[in-house]
Amino acid sequence: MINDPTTLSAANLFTSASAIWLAGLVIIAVGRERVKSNFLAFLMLAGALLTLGGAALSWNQSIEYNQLQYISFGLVPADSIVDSLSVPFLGLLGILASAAAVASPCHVDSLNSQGKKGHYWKLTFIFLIGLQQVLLAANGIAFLVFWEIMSLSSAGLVAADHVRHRAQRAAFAYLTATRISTAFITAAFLWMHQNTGSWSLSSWHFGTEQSIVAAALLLIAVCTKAGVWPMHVWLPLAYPEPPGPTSAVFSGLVGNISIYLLMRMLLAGECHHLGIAYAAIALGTISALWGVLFALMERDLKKLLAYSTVENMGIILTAIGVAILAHCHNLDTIATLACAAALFHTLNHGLVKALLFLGAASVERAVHTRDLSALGGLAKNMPWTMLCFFIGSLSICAMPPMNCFASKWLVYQTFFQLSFANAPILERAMSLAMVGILAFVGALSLACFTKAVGIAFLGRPRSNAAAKAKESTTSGPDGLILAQVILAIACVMIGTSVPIALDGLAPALRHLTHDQFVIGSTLFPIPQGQLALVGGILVSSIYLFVLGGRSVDVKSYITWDCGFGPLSTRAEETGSSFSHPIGRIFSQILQLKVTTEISGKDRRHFPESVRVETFMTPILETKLYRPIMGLFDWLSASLVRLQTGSIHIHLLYVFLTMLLLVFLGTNI
Amino acid sequence: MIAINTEAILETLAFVAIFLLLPPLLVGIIRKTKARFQNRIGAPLLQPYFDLMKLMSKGETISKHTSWIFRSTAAINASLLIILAFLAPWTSLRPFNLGADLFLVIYLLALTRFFTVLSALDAGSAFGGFGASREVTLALLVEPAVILCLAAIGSVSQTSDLGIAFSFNNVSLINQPGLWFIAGCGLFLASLVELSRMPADDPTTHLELTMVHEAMILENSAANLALVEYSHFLKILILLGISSQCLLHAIPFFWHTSQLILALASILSIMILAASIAIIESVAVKLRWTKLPEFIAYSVAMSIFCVFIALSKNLN
Amino acid sequence: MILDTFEALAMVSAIFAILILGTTHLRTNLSFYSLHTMAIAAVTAWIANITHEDHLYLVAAGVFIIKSWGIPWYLNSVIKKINIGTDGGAFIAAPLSMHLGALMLGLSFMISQQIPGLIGEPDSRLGSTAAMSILFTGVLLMLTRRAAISQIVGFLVIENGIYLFAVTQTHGMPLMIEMGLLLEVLVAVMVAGLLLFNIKKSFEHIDVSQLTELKD
Repeated sequence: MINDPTTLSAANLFTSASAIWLAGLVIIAVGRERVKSNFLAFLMLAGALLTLGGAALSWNQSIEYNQLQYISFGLVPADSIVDSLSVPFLGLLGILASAAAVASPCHVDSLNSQGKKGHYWKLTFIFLIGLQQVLLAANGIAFLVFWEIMSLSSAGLVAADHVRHRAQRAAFAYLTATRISTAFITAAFLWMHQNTGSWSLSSWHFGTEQSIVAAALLLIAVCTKAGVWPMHVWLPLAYPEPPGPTSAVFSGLVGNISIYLLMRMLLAGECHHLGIAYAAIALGTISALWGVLFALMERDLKKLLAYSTVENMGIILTAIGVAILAHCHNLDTIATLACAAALFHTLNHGLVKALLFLGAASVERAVHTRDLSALGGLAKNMPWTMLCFFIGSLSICAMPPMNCFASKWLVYQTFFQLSFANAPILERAMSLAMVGILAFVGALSLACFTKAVGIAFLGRPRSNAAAKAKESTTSGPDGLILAQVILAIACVMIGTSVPIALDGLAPALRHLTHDQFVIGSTLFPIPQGQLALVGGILVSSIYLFVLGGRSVDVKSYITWDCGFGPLSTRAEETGSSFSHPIGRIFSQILQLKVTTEISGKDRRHFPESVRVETFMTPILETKLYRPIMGLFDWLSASLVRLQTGSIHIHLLYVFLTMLLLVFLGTNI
Repeated sequence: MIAINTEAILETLAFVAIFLLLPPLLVGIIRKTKARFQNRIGAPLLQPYFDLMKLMSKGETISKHTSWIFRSTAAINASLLIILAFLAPWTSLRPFNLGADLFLVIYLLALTRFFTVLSALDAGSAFGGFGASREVTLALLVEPAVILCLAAIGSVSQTSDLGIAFSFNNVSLINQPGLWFIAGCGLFLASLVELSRMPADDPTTHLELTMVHEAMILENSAANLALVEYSHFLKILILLGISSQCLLHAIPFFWHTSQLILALASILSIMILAASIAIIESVAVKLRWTKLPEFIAYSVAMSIFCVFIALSKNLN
Repeated sequence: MILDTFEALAMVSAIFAILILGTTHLRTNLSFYSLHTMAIAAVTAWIANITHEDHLYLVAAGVFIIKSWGIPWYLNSVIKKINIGTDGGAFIAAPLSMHLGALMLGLSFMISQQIPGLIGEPDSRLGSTAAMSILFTGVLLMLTRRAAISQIVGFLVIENGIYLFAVTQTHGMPLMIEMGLLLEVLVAVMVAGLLLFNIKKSFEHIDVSQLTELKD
């Protein structure tokens, strides 16, 4: 297959990226503490940039190569394929891995134990190799192997801080989720192999009747791995745990890779099944609502971001669902819009969420807590983090002119156009209802991220640590800040030049929709860049002519305190009180309870102490998962009885099993 | 090459003059009507202009706890609303056809809210905090209603461009008085909440139990406050304008009349809506905070009816 | 689709009926009920106009006077006397029940598409949609509210729904029957109002959900 020079060089770039990361792994394993973290970060960055370069070289043409064929997995060798669908994800991997590489040295240097440093580097390199090879895998077996490598190494990253109980719990929850999803993917792959007799991913088509089971299995697997309701419970536990820099790659790609799998199988594989479409839309809608609602109520900054991932995965899943639906009704324009929406939102969300997680990591590094009630006033001490987090929040709330507005607009437009398309009336009603629900979700996420920015960065510091926070370890901005700046610039750039970005995605869209005439730039007609320019000019002229001229008159004084004297910071709005009115509206879902205790001699008129407590019981965990786990506990407790310890009984088991096998073998 | 003709220039000038000068007058109308209802003579109709001018010449005091968000919010919101005034179909006179995408309009409004809420949280006062918290809660309840009303209209005209849907020559919308009327009512109810008017918020008190919008802008002063006030007035103009346009579309007469009458009618109807806000504020009481979802629910119900009409319109 | 005027009026009455669900404030409920009945009177008058059945004018006038003025006025005075302004509580929150009612409107549209062979000229699917939706709304009102006065309003709304169905599909019944029905409704409401006084007097509340205490 290797004949074209571009093909050759792109393939070489990808292979050498993996090789460099592998080399890094070997060096850290051999060299131990002698290796400088800057050198390892350089290796990581080199690999990331090579991946980016490979993606750039092959964005318009699909290449197949088998440079790794000496790694054979028994049934098939590790073939690689770079087609137009994997290119955007490889590009995202390149950007996120570069950001993580830039941020790594200052993180590693701050770690005190040598073991933790080695642990960090080894797992990160394995994780990156796994991610890259999953995206490059051409056949099911290679995909599964690298998927496992990716999952297990990321589980290791989740458990990075494994002495803490919280991290152990998170790692267990995450491992459970990945086990379930791998099991379902394996089942789906076996089913498809049985149907088609081939292991090659591109030869699988989901248009046939028999493949519906496989499609359903894949949907379950992806929902589990991406964190879609009701399988999202592991996500708020696991996402906050990976160490700072890798949390960017982790949060930006772990969910997205499974969405990639879904796109590759169901969209590119032409799944035409209404049931799957409805299921995807329903699950997506619920998880969008559920995720954003819990994100809003969350007090932990990183958990808030994690729940927001649940929301965005839901939105992407609805878009994929509509794409399948539109394929069923032969509505080509809507299918194209939906595919563009899903793909673009996946990439944008990956970018933005990585940016936000880096911001949260920076806050955690400076204040040593992620609890919103201990933050506040960080804007003064951490201007760069604040700016980047602010840009990220604008973007994830889909505010124009950011990148996520473009993709959210595409989602809206998909549903909107379905409402007057040639489809059954119930589906059209559903699509208009979805427009309303998306607006609702949008307003909730606005509330959620104004809370995140406003409580964490604005106002007055709510704790001593927050008051004394320092942005970076060095005098200037260090790697972690730089990584955020890179990602923030990427967000703004994509936001202001959406047509170019969509043109860049056009090959992938053609691959997803099987329509050779898709033009990316016409999908999004709003001139966001020009709007941003006009807005910028307006803002600066108003600032200069109306406000700026009188800056001499500006007097700096304390915040208005009604003449009571200096306000304590406890008078400020906290994260929980900010979201409390909304929590009250949804108290049934959130299981929100408030208890107020007022004590004192004359408690009606002169209360001496007032104590207000709010409780939230996660309804899904207690009502759904606890019984299931109880069932498993009971089952395993009953199975223990089989293990008696007597050798004769065990031999009896062996004998019975043999009998059963013989019986099965002869009859079927 | 754009052909230069006097008519277009006149239109443009008229448009810019209207959106720069009308907003304070609307507030003047509201205040005057309320005063008359309370048997007072009230401040002159042009008082809001004088207030703005007075504020511009004052010295400014800001909290030392604020960051750049607070300093830039007023300017950003004012420019966003000016952009919105050019985009949104709040009057029939639109010299520029810039393509007012409905989702863009909604999200630009949301962007102003984003900044307002952040600047309210910036000074770290208790007032700003709960004002912000109430604002996002109200927005959350109102947003679906607004978007569904507009999306229903858009769905009937099969375009998300509000400029086309509101252009008085769209054949698919000509015989839809029900849709236009219900959408107009729904949007008007929603605007009452979005504009922090009476059933949701009392714009004249400074009592912490009741205020939403005033609580958020408590820290602003002088030119900064003037800008904030002006942007709020402009928001009144735009939102009332959109609902009045819906109501005008419901009357068949305006579909067959000249541009001039139409333009005058749209200005007049905005003023009438402003006066009716004043009437509502005089006869109704501010609802308790916990009762507000009930009020907003009426707006949502209107939007659901709009959706039904839109669905039955495109029945095939 | 283009609506006939009477269909549009029927829809208006259905919408007003749904708006009754939105609040627990009893006076507002009654004013919405009054508007809703006015729309029904207008439907009747309009149908009289297009079918030239003059007795329907009389029925319209009767509906207008008795149902949209008399009964709300009477119930208002009852409310004033027993001094209860709002419904104590609803089983489903009022906003939600209103949205549920709105969804019921969509549902009744789909049901009315399925009804085979509605007689009548013009064949009015939308008329039957409105009627059915009013029926559902009345049932919803009776189901979700606690105060006895809301039960009466719910009953009146159901009655209106049945009446609207008859009027839009068969252009009403003979004058005598219509008038008899009107009187019967009036009497029923009177009796119910008197009962309310007694309930209030003996139980100090008018919460019908607590009437289970009367069992045995």
